[in-house]
Amino acid sequence: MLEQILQGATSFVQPVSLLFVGVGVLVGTAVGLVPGLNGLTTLALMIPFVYGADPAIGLSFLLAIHAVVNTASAVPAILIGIPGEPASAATVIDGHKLAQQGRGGEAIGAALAASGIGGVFGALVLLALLPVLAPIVLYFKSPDTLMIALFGISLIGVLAKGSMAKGLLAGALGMLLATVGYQDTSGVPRFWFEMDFLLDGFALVPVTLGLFAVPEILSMGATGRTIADEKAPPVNARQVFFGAAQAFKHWVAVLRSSLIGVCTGVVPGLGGATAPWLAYMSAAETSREKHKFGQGSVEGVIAPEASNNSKEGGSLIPTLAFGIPGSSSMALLIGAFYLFGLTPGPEFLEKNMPTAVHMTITVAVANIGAAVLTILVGAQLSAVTRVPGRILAPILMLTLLLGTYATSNEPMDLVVLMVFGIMGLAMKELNYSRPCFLIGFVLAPMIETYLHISLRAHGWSFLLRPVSLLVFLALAVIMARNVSQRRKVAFQ
Amino acid sequence: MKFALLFPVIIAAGVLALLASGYFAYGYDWEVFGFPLGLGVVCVALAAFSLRAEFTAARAESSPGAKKDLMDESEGLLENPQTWVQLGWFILLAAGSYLLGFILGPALLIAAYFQVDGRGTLVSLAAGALSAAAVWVIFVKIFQTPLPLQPIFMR
Repeated sequence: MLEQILQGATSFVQPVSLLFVGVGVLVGTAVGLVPGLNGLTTLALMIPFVYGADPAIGLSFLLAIHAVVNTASAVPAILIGIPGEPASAATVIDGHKLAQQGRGGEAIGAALAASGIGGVFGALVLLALLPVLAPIVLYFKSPDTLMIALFGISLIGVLAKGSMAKGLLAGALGMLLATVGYQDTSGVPRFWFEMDFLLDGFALVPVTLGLFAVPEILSMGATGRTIADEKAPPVNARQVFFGAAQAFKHWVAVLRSSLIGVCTGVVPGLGGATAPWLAYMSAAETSREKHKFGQGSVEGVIAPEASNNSKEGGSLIPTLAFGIPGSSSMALLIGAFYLFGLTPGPEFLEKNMPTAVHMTITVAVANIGAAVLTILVGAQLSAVTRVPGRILAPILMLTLLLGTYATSNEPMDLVVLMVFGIMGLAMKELNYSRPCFLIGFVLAPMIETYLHISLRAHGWSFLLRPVSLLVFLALAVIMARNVSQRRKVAFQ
Repeated sequence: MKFALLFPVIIAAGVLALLASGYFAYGYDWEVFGFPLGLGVVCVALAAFSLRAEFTAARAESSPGAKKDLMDESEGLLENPQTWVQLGWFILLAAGSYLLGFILGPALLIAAYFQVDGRGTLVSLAAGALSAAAVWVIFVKIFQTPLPLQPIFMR
């Protein structure tokens, strides 16, 4: 095994390999910085470029792009409140609040350092588990995935600050709107009103951008003010490095969130957008400064970002071990495997362990590279928070439209963007939690599908499986704690 | 305040219409309809609860010494006519970009936005031209995104 790891490492440090990884990091960072430009689409567009290359180098190039998109997408989420990727939506909550307080540089530094550490953590876990992957992934059955998804839904209780009824309503509405389109278990299309584009349901990208980005842009255009408080000191490199140091100061939160990311990434189908919310909830529950969450907490930025990047290592586990994509991007990567004449699965690991090690090292190095690169230019990027709203608004409107259209080439997605934009504006102004809506929207299809499968396969006895039981107990404890805290606050 | 009362009503009405279409128009069986029905009922109940809470809050607000909710993140955007003007621009930009193509549409509309906002003609024209150039270089040339570049009647 050690020999194969060394072979993989030697293959990684070849100049051509390093060049491809470097280019991958640059492309991934650029894509992540433009809101709406999708990592998945970029991966698809880049696959033809690696045709004919050495498999380890070609796959690493694609993996480098994919691994760092999430790192850079934290920047627009923090500075302009627009999540570059749906998975960065959790970063908006506290990151954008910090930017508005003139602490954008600190938030960027913390997010990027946490992303880098999370990415390396995910890669290390993957490297450690490569020899014993099979039994771990096979242990997770539908009931366990269902319970983890239900655990994610319990987030609504934590995130619904202010009125609990409004938070729950937002979450339930998100879940209900996610039922539009084909039902996974029966294949019956629901509520599609004879419109073909609704058969696949509302796409996640226009929904996320509509809810979070449109209200911010309209606010900028309407008030004409800058994002950052005009009285706040300008962002400098020192602030960014101070933020990066914060990630090391909160190392427990970073490691815990990274672990959550890896575990979430391992479960196929749980979805990349779930991990950051689970990590955010965990941080909000365990932090000593709970009151700062939602008002501009550095921990609220660190947690989702660390898990966001570590989940990539996790999602590579089922991809490499069984050829089961841990996420939609991994499904594309499997396509690239076939392009090189490789079939991911137990046989791949047996015969191509050095390639697997090469890919794992790429995840770690690409994450560090992207974090360092973006930290170095973080202070310059923060200048965007000083641009008057009336100049920034039309440019961001155009970027949003282009990003939404480019994701699927579906003109109706622009209409979805508008509708959810108006809804996001109303929700923001009337204090209906948008994160709760998004969590419900992301997790509802999973809950429905795995509930059907679990009931058919196990009956209600699925609740007695060890993982299910454990998650169920954790869920009960969190809910009881949340209710008692709310009562305490109400009493005070 | 009227928006605060209107929003839960719109949600409840929309949800009821959705459920009615599922039950009466599509006639889904329970395996397909059960999950959305359960969620829909929860939504309507919570919307009713929120509406009641808004009424209570409206009464409390009108009483002397009322305090502002600390979790309130509203900026008064719904009452600000400028918000709706910006939304109009956004819709115009979306429609214009799709109908005129993603080069000509943004160039014209971004220039118009800056012009209406009171910036000079030269600045507005430069902004429009720069937008079109940025779309061309970043999205078309670098990322090779298949955007509709020509006006709709030429496609």
